[in-house]
Amino acid sequence: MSETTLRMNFYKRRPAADRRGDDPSAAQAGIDFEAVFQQYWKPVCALIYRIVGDWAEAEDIALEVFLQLHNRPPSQAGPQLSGWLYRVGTNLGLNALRSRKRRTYYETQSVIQDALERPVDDAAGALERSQEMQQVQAILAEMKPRSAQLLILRQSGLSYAEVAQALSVAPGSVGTLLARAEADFARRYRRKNQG
Amino acid sequence: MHLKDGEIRAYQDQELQVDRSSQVEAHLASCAACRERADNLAKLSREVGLQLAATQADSRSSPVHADAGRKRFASAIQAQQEKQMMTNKIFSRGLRPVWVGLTLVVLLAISLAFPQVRAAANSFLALFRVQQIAVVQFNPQTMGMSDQAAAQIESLLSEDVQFEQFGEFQMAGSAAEAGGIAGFNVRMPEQAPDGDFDVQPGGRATFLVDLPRLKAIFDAIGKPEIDLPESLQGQPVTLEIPRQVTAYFGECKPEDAPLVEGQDPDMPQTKPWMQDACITFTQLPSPSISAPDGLDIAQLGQAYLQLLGLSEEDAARYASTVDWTTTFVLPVPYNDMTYQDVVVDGVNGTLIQQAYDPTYGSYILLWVKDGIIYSLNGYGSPDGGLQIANGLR
Repeated sequence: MSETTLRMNFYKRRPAADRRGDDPSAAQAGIDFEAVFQQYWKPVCALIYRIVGDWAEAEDIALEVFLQLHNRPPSQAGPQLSGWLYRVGTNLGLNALRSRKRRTYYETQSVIQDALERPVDDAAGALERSQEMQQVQAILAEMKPRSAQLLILRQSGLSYAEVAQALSVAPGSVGTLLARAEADFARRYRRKNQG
Repeated sequence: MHLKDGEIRAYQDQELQVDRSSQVEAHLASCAACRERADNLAKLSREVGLQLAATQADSRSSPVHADAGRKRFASAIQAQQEKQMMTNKIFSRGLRPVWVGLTLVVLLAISLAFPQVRAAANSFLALFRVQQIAVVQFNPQTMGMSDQAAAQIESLLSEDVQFEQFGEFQMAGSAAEAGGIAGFNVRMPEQAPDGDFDVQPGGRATFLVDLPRLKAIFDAIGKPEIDLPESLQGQPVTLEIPRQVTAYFGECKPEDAPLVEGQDPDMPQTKPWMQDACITFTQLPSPSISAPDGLDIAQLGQAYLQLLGLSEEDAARYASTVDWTTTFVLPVPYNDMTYQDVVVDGVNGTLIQQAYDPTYGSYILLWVKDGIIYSLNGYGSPDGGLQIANGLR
């Protein structure tokens, strides 16, 4: 349409900080981006790998995490930053799992293909491991996101304090939430293996 | 007083303060019920730990390196900036509100697709082509779009939408030359003086359906009940805007337009050079939107009206009177503007005027003829515009 109609200006303008050209950058938020990248790239990739089970996909998602850090950094830097990275990483990882559901058929096919191409001894084991992994991923994808994040973060060796910080929960409640998440996971796991 | 599960769990993970930890230990030694629960919790934790371990079969053999990651990141940032530049280019000349509006329409189109989407949603139709323009009045204060929704849509525009631009901005010395560049027959009044024509670039926006983000947008606009079929994930929706030609009558001299210091050059703004003696005349073949097959377009239209703040009943009543595949429904705010139907260029058109200032306020005259959208914009009395429109060859 012509600019004439546009001059009517139907849509509210965004606050200045949200508009293109003056995005707050990581540097402005007081984050030494290079140092953070060097320190956290591998841990974040490893964390996401635990969820998606594929290094290439884990790196793709980690790239998203750091792009977000660069484009829309959290307001406070410092020790909370690792928590932010872990939270965003697990979030995106779980999102990827959920949107993956409908592709499961093709993945199963490619897993079988992979297995067939391996030496005979290894094929059965690889197939079994991979099916086990898919089952765990399916359960994580259908759990409440915070419960799934909690299990993943804990499994990857974070302390209660770190988990609490990453998920913005009180440190004193991590034990309770963890016990609940484990019970939920186990229940779903049993149900899947009975059905 | 028995122990809570959470405390037992924290004790087992050695996450309790030392003194509390020894209290728990003492209680467990003396309480069989808590001991049994502790055993169960420990067993559960071990089980789940083993099952989760399936996801890390070879997590020690990490092939990941920070330096390689940093290189990928650098090129991702560069790609982002290039896309941003392209986005800026297309958004400049004040096109942005139209993108936002059309994107909304497209989003709603997709959102309402679900009951009809077929398993093989890979056949496409030209969903939308403007043949006429209708006006709907709305109250900007009750518009259903929150800042959060607008921010979501804006990030969708900058991240999920691919923009391509056709051609460069060009000047032409005659209607024939402008038409040759733009690819359609450019019309002018018989007695029009010689002047410059601006030929704006055309554009194509391709949106690959991103279900999680759409879900976030529907939540933000207060329609969380909209559920999208997963078969739409990754499906393309394409909006094409052809090249448009603008001519100027009177004392316009757009090339003299000063850039106002401190003003966002991309935002629509009052141009000091646009005196009441200046009339701009724009013509543009209809934009079109293609989307996955099976959309309920009337429903989409109704949701669009509701988003503008109309009540469900009003929206339904209005929506049923409009052919949504051919009608561009232009939202006109109450109070600020008035509109009336006029006969122009031999067809029915719409005249929109600024309500508060009929003497110097701007007017827009809009009509569609033979697939081309025409728009005349001037100030004060619309007589000059009507004269140009009715003298078109």
